[in-house]
Amino acid sequence: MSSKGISPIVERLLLPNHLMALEFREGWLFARVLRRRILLYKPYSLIDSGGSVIDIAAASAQAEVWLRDPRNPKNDILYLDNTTDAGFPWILHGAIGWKPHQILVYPRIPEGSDIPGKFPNIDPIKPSAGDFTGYYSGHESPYDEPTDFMEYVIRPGIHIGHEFYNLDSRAHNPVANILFALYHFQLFKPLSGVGPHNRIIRDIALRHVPAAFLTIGFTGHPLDLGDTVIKEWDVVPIKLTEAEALEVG
Amino acid sequence: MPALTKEEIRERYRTVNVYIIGTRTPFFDAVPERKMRNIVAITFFGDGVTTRTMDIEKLKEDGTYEMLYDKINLAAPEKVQLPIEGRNPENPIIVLEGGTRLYGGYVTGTTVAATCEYWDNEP
Repeated sequence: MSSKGISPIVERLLLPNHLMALEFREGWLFARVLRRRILLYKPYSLIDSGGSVIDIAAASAQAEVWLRDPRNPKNDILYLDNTTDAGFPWILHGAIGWKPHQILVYPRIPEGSDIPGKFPNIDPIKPSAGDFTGYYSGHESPYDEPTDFMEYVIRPGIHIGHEFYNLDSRAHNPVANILFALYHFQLFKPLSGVGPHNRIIRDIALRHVPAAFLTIGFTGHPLDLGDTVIKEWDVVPIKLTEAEALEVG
Repeated sequence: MPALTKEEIRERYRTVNVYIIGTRTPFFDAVPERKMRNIVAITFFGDGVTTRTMDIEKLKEDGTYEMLYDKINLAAPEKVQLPIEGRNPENPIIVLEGGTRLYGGYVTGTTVAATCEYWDNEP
């Protein structure tokens, strides 16, 4: 699959001291991973808000649900409730593999919003009709090897929703392999004049040093960082062109 | 996208049993246009009473029938399986394109139980 630009997500996850540029609607943040923790939920059997297993009937849809913790269905597994942890900003980065592959998965980032992966010039995607676009399945992101076909980068304070459609002629309970990395990171702060982080920010922006470019949400429609996170992370996103033009002395 | 894995083929594997009545009984509805249906095996079970001659036909999209297997001798106490030796999901004996349909039939006698095993290239 890598020949088509689709890779196992484990090849995309960052290691401590890796650099990254995070794209939000307001602009870009530049950071260095300080800690990385792999998070795995496998097998994860899809449940509803009451904790009951969801068995999607043949040729039927499942309305939007969070991926809830079966031990306490009030909890969304892919949710970061605080903007920081142990004094560091944090994000989730990963992917989900699914089975059986006859189940089409339509993510909504954040919940209730548009479905990523839509061709720009087509009508809205209807998971309830099992539209053959805007979905991914266990064929694109296999249960045993989740891929970046649908790469999730989740900031604190947002819920991710998923809708489903069962193409098969028999009922199925979707089962997931939820494979994420939790990054605690150090944010680089651009300063007017010569600042201590200006050079590394500029080098990342100009691609003088290797760094991962991650979009929060999805390409073409990044999520906003939000006033609360901006305040608590104590950093202001900047444009890529501003980053490239920073004064480094 | 890569070819289907063995596990994905197993996830799609279906077994359908029908009772063949008369000259033409469908094994299933017409294959949806977006799919190719791979027939892995067909087994006819003799009823222990009457020997029959079975056949398998394909209903094409133009409405005509194409004979695929003719004059399959089914002795009353026996069963006949196609393929005769073993089966391999990756080497189907028949491939049906979208819009076509598979029929089993015989000329005289009572109903015959038949089992068809298949998988589709699209979910």
